[in-house]
Amino acid sequence: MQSNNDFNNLLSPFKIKGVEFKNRFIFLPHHTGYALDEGYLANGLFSDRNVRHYVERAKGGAAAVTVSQNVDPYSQMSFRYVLSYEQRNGDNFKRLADEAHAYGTKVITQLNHGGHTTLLNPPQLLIAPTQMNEPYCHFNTKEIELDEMERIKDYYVKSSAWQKELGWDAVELKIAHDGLLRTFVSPYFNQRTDQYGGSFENRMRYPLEIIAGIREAVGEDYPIGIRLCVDEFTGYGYSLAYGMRVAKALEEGGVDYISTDAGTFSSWYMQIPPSPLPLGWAVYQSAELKKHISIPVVAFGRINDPVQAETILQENSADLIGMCRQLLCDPETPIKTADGRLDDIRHCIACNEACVGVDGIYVECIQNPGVGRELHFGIDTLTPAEEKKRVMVVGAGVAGLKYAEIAAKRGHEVEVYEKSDMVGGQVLLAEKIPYRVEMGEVYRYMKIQLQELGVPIHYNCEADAKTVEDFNPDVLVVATGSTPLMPEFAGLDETGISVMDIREAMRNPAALGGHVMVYDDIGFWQGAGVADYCTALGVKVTVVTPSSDVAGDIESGQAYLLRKRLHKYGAKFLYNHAITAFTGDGVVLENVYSHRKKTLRGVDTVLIAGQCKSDNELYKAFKGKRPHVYAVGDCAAPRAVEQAIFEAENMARMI
Amino acid sequence: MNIVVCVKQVPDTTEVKIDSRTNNLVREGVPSIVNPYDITAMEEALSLRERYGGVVTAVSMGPPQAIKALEYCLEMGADEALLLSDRAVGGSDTLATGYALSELIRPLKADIILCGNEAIDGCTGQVGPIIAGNLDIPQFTYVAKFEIMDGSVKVYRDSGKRLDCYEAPLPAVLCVLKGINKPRRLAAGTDKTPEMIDAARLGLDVSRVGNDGSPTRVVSIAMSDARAKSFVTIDDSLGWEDRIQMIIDGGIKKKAKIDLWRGTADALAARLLDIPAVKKHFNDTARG
Repeated sequence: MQSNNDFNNLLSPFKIKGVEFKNRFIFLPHHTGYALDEGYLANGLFSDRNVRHYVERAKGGAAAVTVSQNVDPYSQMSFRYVLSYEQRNGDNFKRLADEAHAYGTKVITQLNHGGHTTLLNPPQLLIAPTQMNEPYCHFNTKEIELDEMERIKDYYVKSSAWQKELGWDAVELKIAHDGLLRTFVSPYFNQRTDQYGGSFENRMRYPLEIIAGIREAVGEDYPIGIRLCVDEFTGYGYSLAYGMRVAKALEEGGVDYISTDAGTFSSWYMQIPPSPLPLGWAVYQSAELKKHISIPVVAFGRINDPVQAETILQENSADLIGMCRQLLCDPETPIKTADGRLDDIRHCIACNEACVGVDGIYVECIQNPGVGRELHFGIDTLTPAEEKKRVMVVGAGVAGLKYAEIAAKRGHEVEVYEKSDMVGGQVLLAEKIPYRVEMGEVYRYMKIQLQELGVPIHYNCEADAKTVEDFNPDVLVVATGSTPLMPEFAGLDETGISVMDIREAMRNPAALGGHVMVYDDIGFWQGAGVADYCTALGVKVTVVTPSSDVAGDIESGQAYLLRKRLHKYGAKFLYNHAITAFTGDGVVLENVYSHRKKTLRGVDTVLIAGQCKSDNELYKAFKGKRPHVYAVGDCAAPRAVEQAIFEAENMARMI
Repeated sequence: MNIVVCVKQVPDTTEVKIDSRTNNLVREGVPSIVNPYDITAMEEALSLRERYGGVVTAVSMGPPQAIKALEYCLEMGADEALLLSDRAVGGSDTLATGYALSELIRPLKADIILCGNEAIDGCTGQVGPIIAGNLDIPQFTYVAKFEIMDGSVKVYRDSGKRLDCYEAPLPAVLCVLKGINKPRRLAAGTDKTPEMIDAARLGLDVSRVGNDGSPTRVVSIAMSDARAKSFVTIDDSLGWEDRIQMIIDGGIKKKAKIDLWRGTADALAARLLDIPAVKKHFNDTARG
């Protein structure tokens, strides 16, 4: 067990102006999508779900939670983005302050104006210093006028003052990866010729005017911070040296702390960095800030562990540790750190599958079903079982493990049967894909939980009907996974090409041969991810898909970097084509629109990334014959980790 | 048993300062000591003599003042000490030093040659293996322990993770690690003095020693960050895509693309045998 003394810096209090933070864990701002949308000028409502989301992190021991908000009801990035001066939000704003303060946690307002960036398609009227679109999207902007600037500044000022009145503790402005204020400081986006553009001083003028306005309203002792993009990571944007210059000017303008940020909507994989970006990759930026300014600096960028966080503080690379996704994944990270329960911390793996996802609606987490569902799945919501039952879980993939963990935590007597000699199921393959190795954390965490709970896992033990009868459980949970389906193709029997499913290929990479065609009929990691795996092994890859894109169901940051790798390593792509048949030495492909056929020759192996079929024989054998028989995970329907974990947890809470 | 120990006089690195402007070593006023690894080797030699009898000869190469290091060895209990000192060998790198020392050792008919694994000033660990190469005898580095057997030696080599055990015929060169024994205190004094030898007496090929015989060049000396930080700093002057790639690669520059072959063992063997150089080698071997 780790001792408290190992985290002397991380657990020590820190003061900014009149506010003392109890430790160094800061829950970074993010758009949750939890605000309610009841129609025009009745949206951005700070919901009960919002309040619980932040209170959960207060319960978990964070020093502060930061609530990202939109200042202007006439220009919103999303209708589910909290509106800062919406009077209907007053009660819940106050409730959050009261409930967070009960845990000694501070509440920070973060104010943003979407400016030229938006999550809406099509958006409302977008505004920018100069008429110009953010290059990632084609929606153009209106050049902001001076009276509009005054009106927006007024929103910033009155929102800050109002939330201070409601009991909030600090205010932070976003000059970060999205929003109006970064476009003002950016030499690329700000081409104005009036007093707000042209020179560095002029570009800084509008943000500094807003800061001065807020200062006048909130007083000297109330901290004003900036979330600052220090490197835009674009071909036209500014980089670290300019970021430091902006930070220095902000310090001189009376700002009390800088929270590090990088990337833009056009380089979004740097703002919510997915797993290819290494843990703590942006610490150099915070360390650089520490060299240039003397006000406190918050670090960001894949910080997911207290040992890592303590090191950053020890080396004086930052004063506070910003965590967003880590505190989504495990809100109790601070408390577990203080208790020395380090193995018990569930680490964020930056998969971005649920917190960002492809829908971009609600923030969720593949590992923690409690994100956005704090009321039902949050801290201290597990109730002891009314009747202690003997539970037999068959299969130690993620669904089986999660069911066993939750059932055992509720006091049931659980045993797990696993036919192989390892836990993890398909994640054992998923983690072999390049930059996906951290997927292993999904089963590591649950394995540790089962160890601590004393739940036996019977390895190399394929449970059949007799095993079940012998064990005679009160509850039988079948989590036996799925098997890939091999479609019927003409000529499959006679072809000289080796055809296999992706799981078989990853188990036996030696059989891949020199040129592989990956048939992506799924859009998720099984297709493009396995293609990446093949190129990493030095295999020539051609990806064929009936879709108009590969990796279409993968979160866009991950997908961008994945496609970039595939192109870099010379993968070839053929879109809108489906396999119709195999010949002796070729694959016959048909355009799904025109039905024109072509034959791809010279491939040694064809990998099919397609549908799977539930392995539910054991479930079917006992369903109806025994009182409690459940199928979870792929055994119910083949899907991704997020659904498997959510369902297993949900079902295990019901027995 | 004829035991030879190679020793080097080195600056006491705990006393070395670095000039903050030039980044060069400041050697002025730094005391000289016997390389601590070599003292360990001396101790091993003296224990061998106690057990098997014989003669311990300490050898060194260096300027005349290096005689102090050999005097230390004699005081420790060495029977003889030889110092190769000559202007011709000044400026020798490890290759040249290894050659010169092997010529110094060759006439001694050593049964075993003990070296320190490395010297604390250069830390190359190359001279011992080069001596063995010149004498065409077996050599072992990172030696943690060894036992003399009948005409052979059993060596335990510390590979960092485990001890690897080897057996080799004598004579052999053993480069020992520091801390594997406790060197004895110096004896009350000795009336022996080291013998000075010059290049001519050994009949050294002067083109193989000194500056001419040393291919090593010091191109530049740079200061490492005194306190290693646990993060990688990205060069802001790079283009945006290069910055991102550098971050993803953890600051490590990718090596040139490796020509990776895949296939069954048989197929790979067939491809290997198709390489002209390999083919030629096998043809030559077959003819030879």
